[in-house]
Amino acid sequence: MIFSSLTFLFAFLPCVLVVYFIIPNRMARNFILLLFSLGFYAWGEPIYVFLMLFSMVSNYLVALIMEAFRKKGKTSMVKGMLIIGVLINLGLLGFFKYADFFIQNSNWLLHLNLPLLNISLPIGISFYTFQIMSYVIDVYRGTVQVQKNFIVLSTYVTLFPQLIAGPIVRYETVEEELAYRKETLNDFAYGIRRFLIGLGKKVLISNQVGFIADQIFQVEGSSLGLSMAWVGILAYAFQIYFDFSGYSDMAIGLGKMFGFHFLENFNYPYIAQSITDFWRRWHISLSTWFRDYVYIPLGGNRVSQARWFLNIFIVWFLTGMWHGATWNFILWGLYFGVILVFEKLIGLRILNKIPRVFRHGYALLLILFGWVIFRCEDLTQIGYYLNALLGFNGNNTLKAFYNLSIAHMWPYLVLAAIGSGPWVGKLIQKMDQRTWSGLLLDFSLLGIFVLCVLFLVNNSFNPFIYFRF
Amino acid sequence: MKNNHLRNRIISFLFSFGIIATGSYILFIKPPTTRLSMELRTATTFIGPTIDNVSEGYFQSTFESAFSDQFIKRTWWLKAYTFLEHTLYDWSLPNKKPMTLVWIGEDVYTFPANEDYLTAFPVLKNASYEEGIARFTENVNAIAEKYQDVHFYVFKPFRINESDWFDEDNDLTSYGQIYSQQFFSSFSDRILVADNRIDSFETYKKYYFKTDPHWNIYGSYEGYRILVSLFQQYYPEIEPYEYTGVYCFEDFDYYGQYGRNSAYLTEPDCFCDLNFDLPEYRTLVNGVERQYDQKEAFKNGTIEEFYWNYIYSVYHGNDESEVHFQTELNTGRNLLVFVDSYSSPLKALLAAHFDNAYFIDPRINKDFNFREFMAEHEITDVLYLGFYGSLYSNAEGSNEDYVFEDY
Repeated sequence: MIFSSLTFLFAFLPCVLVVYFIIPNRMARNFILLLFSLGFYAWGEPIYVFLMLFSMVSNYLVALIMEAFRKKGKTSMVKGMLIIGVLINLGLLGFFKYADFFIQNSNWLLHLNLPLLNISLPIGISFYTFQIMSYVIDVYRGTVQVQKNFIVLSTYVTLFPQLIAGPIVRYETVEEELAYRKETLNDFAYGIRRFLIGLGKKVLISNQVGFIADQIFQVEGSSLGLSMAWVGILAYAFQIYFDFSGYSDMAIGLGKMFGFHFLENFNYPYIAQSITDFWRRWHISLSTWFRDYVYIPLGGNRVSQARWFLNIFIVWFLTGMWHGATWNFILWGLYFGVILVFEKLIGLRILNKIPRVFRHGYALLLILFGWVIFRCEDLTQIGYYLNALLGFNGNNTLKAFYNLSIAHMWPYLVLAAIGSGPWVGKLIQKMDQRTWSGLLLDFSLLGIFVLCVLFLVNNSFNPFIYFRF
Repeated sequence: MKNNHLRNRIISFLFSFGIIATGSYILFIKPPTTRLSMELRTATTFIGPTIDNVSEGYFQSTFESAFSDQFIKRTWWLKAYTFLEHTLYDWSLPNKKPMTLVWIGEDVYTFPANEDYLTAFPVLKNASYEEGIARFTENVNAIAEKYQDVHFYVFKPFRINESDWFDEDNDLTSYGQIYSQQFFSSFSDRILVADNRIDSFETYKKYYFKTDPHWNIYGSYEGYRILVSLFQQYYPEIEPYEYTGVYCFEDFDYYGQYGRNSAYLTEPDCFCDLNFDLPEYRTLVNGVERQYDQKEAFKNGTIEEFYWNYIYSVYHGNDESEVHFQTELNTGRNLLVFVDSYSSPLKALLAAHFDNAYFIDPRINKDFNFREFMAEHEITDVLYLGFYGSLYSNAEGSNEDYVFEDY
């Protein structure tokens, strides 16, 4: 189930709100959240609920045993339990997400003929595995208390607002709130506002510009012209941003409605002035996860220069791989690894000396090229697309885009461009400060909600073409 | 602070009440919608969960579909959406040329500058299309060669998407006219061929619906007159029937197939019929004697409400496997016609010149055996009447050829 579906908005969410707020007891509320979250997950993946339960039980036990060993002063056993915990998590992730990738590459590299497992990817496995792994590591480090109540730990892992697409909420962020949170009208209303902003981003912008991107990326590489290619990659850049940040907004908003305060996951990434800056603004929960649980444990930058670069490449290799089990994601990760090394060596020094507009242009250009690698699944397509962006494919007139059946949708791109900057956010903040403008803001958001429903109902419009005559 | 509290209450109440009330109404109160007339399909309704259907995911997918199909005032939402889309087209594309195609739904296009006529995408170069035409014409030629005593005719109704009117405005090369020429030039001299080719969009508007690919009653009458002129080459005594009056459903806005499929807010069509004084006839539909058309039921207002959306096919008579018209004219002429839906308004008119007229729809009548049928009935004339996509191959995507007889 996705947040931007009629079923979620008018069936699941009303049910969970009514049942949750009728029950006064904190622990019972956690239990209700757990049940609904499991239902939310099972809606799309009934079988994989058991996988998630296995992951929760094993990590719960690992942390408990680890704590028991720690109390007895058996440090090596504590470390051993950490290794077991990490292996369980990486093993599950590796098997369900990467098994076929490894088989395919082994077959290719070693001329084998091993059959593929064709395992369907459990939804959200990358997110909840990273969350629960952070819990086990934090227990090992002693930065969080071991959670003895299985319901509470399970509630944290399965919490439906962030279960499927993040942000990656660390246990330490919600540790207190799991036991002592207080739902307030202020938070509830803020949560609704934030949720509606996210819903609008997803339904009114991401889905629409995504339609443009899909149409253009379907055009055969050799007939892809300059105008089409640029519009296509811009549309895709907006699609992925509004999709992901919209989802994060909805997650943060829903969290607030139930009394949780998740950390921000995006901070206007497309106004970044370098790639280093971009990665401080994009999918913050993932970048900080890799920083805290991979990069720094590897030594970070407090090592030799060669080792430092190696650390960076390891992190970006893993970042790419986290996004998907195909080579283009790994290439995409390494692409940013190379740029970040360049920036750390000399790039940032050069960038600091040039006007802001050029810094911004530099970052945007590299981000967009990155999205080409991210979106195109094979190297040939990447090559065609980059060629088209540079005007080497011919068909370089604006008319090429104008003739597409989705040309009339260009205003969505303008809307996306405006929405991706900080201006709308600042306007919302200003409106929020005064009662009347605040009321206007609230009714505008409710209007956006109605508009979203309009678009969602239309998605269900599925004419059956009975005869083509 | 107090005001903020009030604000928070208002948005919390409106949002929560809105989703709870809407959800409850759809799930527990609203009588289920059974048919979605705009989409020509059965509406999905809610089903109960079982261990099997939940574990297979069938319950979930059905629930989601049902929730969409059963949404309050769904048609209103769809039309509101198309209004927004329409508005977007209107101001977002500068220099709209008269025949610029704009995509508006599944397989429906419109020309915003041209009174919102709806159409399918032009016929483009397509090898399988070419091969289909070749196989069809070869088959018909072979049949005509074998049945030397029988008169053979081919009539292809015109469709806008085979015109080349789009080419200049859309940088296209449509192949409709090229295929049409290939089609007609491939028949042997034994076969009389014709179409109602239309050379300008202005003429097209007189003969075709705006919201449907079919010809309107004037277009089909024009087709009838052309067909009679073919019959006259063998039977000079045949004269076309002249219409005695026009009957229009003034209070009814007709949205044809494209109008419904796209939910596009174009101007509706007016549905009209022509009155004729035809000789008496009886009809057997798939071997059962019954009225083929439902003209009187529509005129009397006794037709089921749902069928008003499909007035073109239901009013004139549905696509059927076999429709047999029997007159008492004693002309000695028996007609076999292979048809698609374009024939619906023509059947009674054509039959009025023959003792028997058999209308076979090859898309439905898969087991039809030409050889046996010819042996059992004293057929004097065979007519292939349909858009060539309908007659030479299965239009439902299986690419199965309609072979009228194996040679």
